Parts: sequence; structure tokens; C-alpha cells
Amino acid sequence: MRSFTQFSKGLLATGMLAASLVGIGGCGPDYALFKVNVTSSTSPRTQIEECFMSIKDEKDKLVLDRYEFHKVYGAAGEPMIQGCEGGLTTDRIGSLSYSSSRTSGTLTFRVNAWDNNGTRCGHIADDERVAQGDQPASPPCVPLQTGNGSATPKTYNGPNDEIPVSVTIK
Amino acid sequence: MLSVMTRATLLTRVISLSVIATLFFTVVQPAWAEDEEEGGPAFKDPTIVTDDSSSVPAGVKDIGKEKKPIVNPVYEEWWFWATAIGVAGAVIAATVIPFQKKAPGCGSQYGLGCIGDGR
Repeated sequence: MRSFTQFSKGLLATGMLAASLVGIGGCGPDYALFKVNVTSSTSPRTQIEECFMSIKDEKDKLVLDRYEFHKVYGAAGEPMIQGCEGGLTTDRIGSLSYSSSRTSGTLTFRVNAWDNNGTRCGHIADDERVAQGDQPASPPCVPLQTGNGSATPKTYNGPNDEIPVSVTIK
Repeated sequence: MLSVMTRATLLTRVISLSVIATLFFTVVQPAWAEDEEEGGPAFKDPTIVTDDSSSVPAGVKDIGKEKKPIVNPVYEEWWFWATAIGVAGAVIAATVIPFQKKAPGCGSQYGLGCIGDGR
């Protein structure tokens, strides 16, 4: 009888452990998936050297800091397919996939296109310096073009849940 | 930013496993305690002098006379080792297998990049 009691307790403990692990696994954080389409509406795009994206939440807190877009080139003599580069940037700059562990609130996607001054400025615009408690640069650090797009995250369960975000820099 | 979140995930995982381990050993421990209560001799305080006390206190006389062997040690039970192996396997699996669901990979249409802390 005592062995049976011990076995029962061992079984109970194992069951609790297994149930807890399954519970943790099932309660893992979800994610949201964004498709960010970036376009440029105005000239002078020929002066664009680099494009950087940052993301802030609804509390104006940085979620992603200065991500530089990749560049996709076409065949020789063909226009650039996606990305930003002096003389090659097209009006349809391209698309980016961003996944977030957040499934609520609001995310604001900001794209800054920089000319040669971007390197001098560290690709940080003056308004971003002020927001971080720093002084504006001198001479001023102002992106050549800038644009914003906002979206509300939601749990991704399938392709229909991909959240489109449009950012037009001008 | 990504490294910060990875540390946070690891911390959450360690805390969760600690809670699970605490619950587990809380259940298992009384089984051992009952064994001792059921099989062991009644406690005698060697400092108490009774009516039939000799020069040697009653409790002290028992010391050294009886070396009671461990009856049914828990480590000889099959379920103990089965549980131990199960716990060790679960801990290793919980550490290695990521709990967070992962976003799908990206195709060539996402030329600007494929990023985020959901990956």
C-alpha cells in the first residue's frame, strides 16, 4: 500500500511537471508580422546615399534603432531593384519584413533617406537628438527625405494576418 | 535591442523552471519524510533520567547498539530514477527548445531586409 502511495505521488509530481512544461510552451509569446513598403514621392532622389529605418512604440520609445536597408541590384545597366543608393534609388524603394514580439499598442515606422551628410551626422536627425536629450548638431543634421507609417500589431496566425505598412519619404 | 530581449527571455525561462522545480520537490519530499516516520524508532532524549536509570542515561544506552539499515531507500525505487530522468530531460528540453513562436522566413520580395525580435 505504501509503495502504491509513493508511486501515486511520483506520478502526480511527474504529471505536474509535464503539465507545467506544456503550459509554458503553449503560453509562449505570439508575434506580429509587418510588411513595410517604402516609396519615395519626390526628387532629388539622385542625392540619396543611404536609407535608415527606426521604429518607435506608442510611448515614443525606440523599438528598433537605425536599421540600414539592404540593396538589391539588377543586371548591369538595369535600374536598382530595391534599396537606396546615390543615382540609383527608384521611386519604389522596396519592401521589408518586420516581425515583432508585441501584439498590441502602436508601432510607428520612420524612414530617413540621407545624402552625404548622413555619415557626418551618424544618421541621427536633429529631432531625434533632441528627443534623446542631446543638442542639435551644427551644421544641422536633417535627412534629405523622411517619411512615417503607423500600424497596430496583431497576432500572426497566417498570411492574411500580415500587416501592411506604407511609408512614403518626401 | 535584440540581445536585451534574448536576455529577458532567458531570465523568464530560468524563473519558470525554478517555480516548476520547487513545485515538484514540494510534492516529492513528503513521500521521503513519511518513510522515516513510519519505519524509524521513537525518539528518546538521552538526557532524561527515568526511574530505572543506571549510571548511563537511557537514551545513551541505545547509541551505538543499533545500526538500523536503511529500509527501502528511495534511490532503489524504479520510479525515483524514472522521475529523475524525466525531470533532467524536461529541463534540458526546456532550455534548448525555444518557447517563442517564430515568424516565417522571408522571400526575395523583401529585398530591404527581414528583421525583428519575433524571429
